[in-house]
Amino acid sequence: MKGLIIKDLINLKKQAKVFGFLMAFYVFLAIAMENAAMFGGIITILFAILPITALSYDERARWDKYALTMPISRQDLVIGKYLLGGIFMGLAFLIYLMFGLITRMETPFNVLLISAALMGVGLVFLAILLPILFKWGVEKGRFLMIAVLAVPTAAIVVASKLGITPPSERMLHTVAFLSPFIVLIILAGSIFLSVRVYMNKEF
Amino acid sequence: MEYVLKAENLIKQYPEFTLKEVSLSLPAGCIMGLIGENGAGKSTTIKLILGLVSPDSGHVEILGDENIKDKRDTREHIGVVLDESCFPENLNIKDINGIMTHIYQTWNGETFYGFCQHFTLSPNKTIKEYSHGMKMKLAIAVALSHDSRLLILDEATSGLDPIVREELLDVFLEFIQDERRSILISSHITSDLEKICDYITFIHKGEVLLSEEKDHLLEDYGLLKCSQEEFAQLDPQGIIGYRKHHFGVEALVEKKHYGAEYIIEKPTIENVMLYHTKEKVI
Repeated sequence: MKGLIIKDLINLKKQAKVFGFLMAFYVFLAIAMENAAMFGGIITILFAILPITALSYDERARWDKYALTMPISRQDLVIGKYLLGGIFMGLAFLIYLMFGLITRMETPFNVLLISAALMGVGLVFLAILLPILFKWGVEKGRFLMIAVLAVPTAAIVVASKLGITPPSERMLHTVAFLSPFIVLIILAGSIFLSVRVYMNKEF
Repeated sequence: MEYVLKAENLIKQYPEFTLKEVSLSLPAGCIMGLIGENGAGKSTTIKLILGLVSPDSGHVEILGDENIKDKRDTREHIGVVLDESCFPENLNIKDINGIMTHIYQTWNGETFYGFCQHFTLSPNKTIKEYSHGMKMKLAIAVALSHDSRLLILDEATSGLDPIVREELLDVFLEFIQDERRSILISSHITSDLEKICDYITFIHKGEVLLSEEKDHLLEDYGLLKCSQEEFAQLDPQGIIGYRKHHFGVEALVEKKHYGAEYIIEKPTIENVMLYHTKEKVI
């Protein structure tokens, strides 16, 4: 497993320069616009895309069928990508936390809350996408990916147009309290699904 | 006899291709060549053996273990070179050494760097910049740098120049000096296989036509040369395939059917392969 993670990190190293540049740009933008949450959203998206990039590198090299001739199990290959996602989401969490605490645009409590919420959203994003990508591959799964991301956006737009009242503050509090558990359950379900899909894959 | 690899009655059906009851057994200390034309089923057979594809029926035993798909520890002792390089393109040799240290418990970095030097693989280039031949050599270096007891090589020498191929054949022959080790190698460059193999398995249209010791194979068959008139008189039972030309006929025959009155030459593996497939055309 460690070997797989190292492989992905080295493989993604090439993106580091572009990444650093983008990050510096958005830090500047966030400070200029005094909008800290925007920066948080951007880095969450940037980091959440990295495991998918890693997956597409693997696909292009046809790494999986080669890796499966080594002492690596199919579960390892699947769980490795979730771990990679976890690492990057953790990193995004830390970066935003530091950014928030240094710039003091929000109260420390709010900064912590926002970074945790963003991490949760990023993890759910990966939990939804990874089973699709394991089933159909990054190439074919790309359109499905866009479709999946469009559904929640569309739902919110439709809900507001229909005049459905947004949930009350009390309800939101309950959801916020439960959300870590909800995220974990979604992740567990997603890993289970991905492993099942991948066990029967033929190369 | 101790077998390193045994495959029995492997059947796999695809929409446009079927592998029909492929069986082969590879004894310890031997090299088996898997020959056949493009699309004959060589790669499919190798994928079935490696558990990359599940058979519809039949089973495979490697190093005494069945169902290699779930046996991670067994795969520690199998070195594989697939027909394409599967290394992620942004890595270099040092990266690969670092990664493999964590993947193979028996990984030996010294051996690996030794092979890289022997194969003159550039340490500074990334895989993306490697030529096809260099990628293949890199894959072979990886396959030989852990405790492999079985090498499975799918078209590993195809597309390489004769000098490199010769060099690799030597490496394979050296590997086999340890009698617990074996090699299964598929190729359509039959002359390479003729040089190093102890056994030949010939797959044609998804079926095993022959699976024999190479020396037996070359002894049992002969190339009979005669005039067209003589050919017409021949007992057809022993004729595998033939080709008519201006001066007469050349036919691949089973030697036992014909006496000393005929001129029968020793065939090459290529002759055996070509005339066996030709037979179906005629």
